[in-house]
Amino acid sequence: MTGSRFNEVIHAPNRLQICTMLAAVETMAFSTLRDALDVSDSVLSKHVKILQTAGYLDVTKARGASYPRTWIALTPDGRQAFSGHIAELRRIVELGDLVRRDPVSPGE
Amino acid sequence: MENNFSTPSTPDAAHALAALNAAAESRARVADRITSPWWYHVGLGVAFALVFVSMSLRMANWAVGPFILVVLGLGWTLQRSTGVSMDRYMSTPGASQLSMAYVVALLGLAATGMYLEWGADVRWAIAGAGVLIGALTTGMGYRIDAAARRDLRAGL
Repeated sequence: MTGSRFNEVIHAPNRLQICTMLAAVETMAFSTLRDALDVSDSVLSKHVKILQTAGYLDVTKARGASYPRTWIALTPDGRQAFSGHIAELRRIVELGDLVRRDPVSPGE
Repeated sequence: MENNFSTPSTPDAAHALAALNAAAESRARVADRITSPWWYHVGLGVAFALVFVSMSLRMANWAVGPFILVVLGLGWTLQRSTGVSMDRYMSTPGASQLSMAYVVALLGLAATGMYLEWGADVRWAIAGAGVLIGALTTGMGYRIDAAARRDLRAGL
């Protein structure tokens, strides 16, 4: 079972989207990820590097018939950290809902 | 690209909800990209049909090798063309259920065809079953893709 844990490396908007997309597949081509995110190569490279340094991404270069293609995948640690982060975000939202539904009165 | 949430170190509920919504939007974008091109399902259907027809023609010995190569080649080309690698058949609960139903139907049709041709001497029964299996493979391929997309959008 994955424990819920806020992860600052994953939480940055672009990195959260990268992890969300990669969590749904086995691997994704760098160019596909870039187009899906609608960011430049350099922006994606920067975020991929950060996630890779944290041990959350595997980056492989495959030689194709015409040009090399870079494939990106979440590592098992990355999947676990992402699941824990999403679980923590859900917990925070649920906690907020509870507080709104059952606010503690000032006298209590 | 615009994002509707920033990155405070201690997120509140509204911020967490915005992040979850952004994640849901990203999942939907992945779902859009797992639509297989028409030639993938049709190619698989034709390959399955031909391998069964080859059994009726008593030519299965040489057909199985090319069949495996065609199936692997279609998978490789699909991965290259979509830029996404995933197990479309088992990736989500809905896709898995449909895949199991597909396998049961495929085995049932194959067994029926083989029984009729080899047990009851009905010529071309396996080929007939193969044509049905080909149509089933193509039709179910589209449905399994759609189920995977639906489940991904729902966060399953």
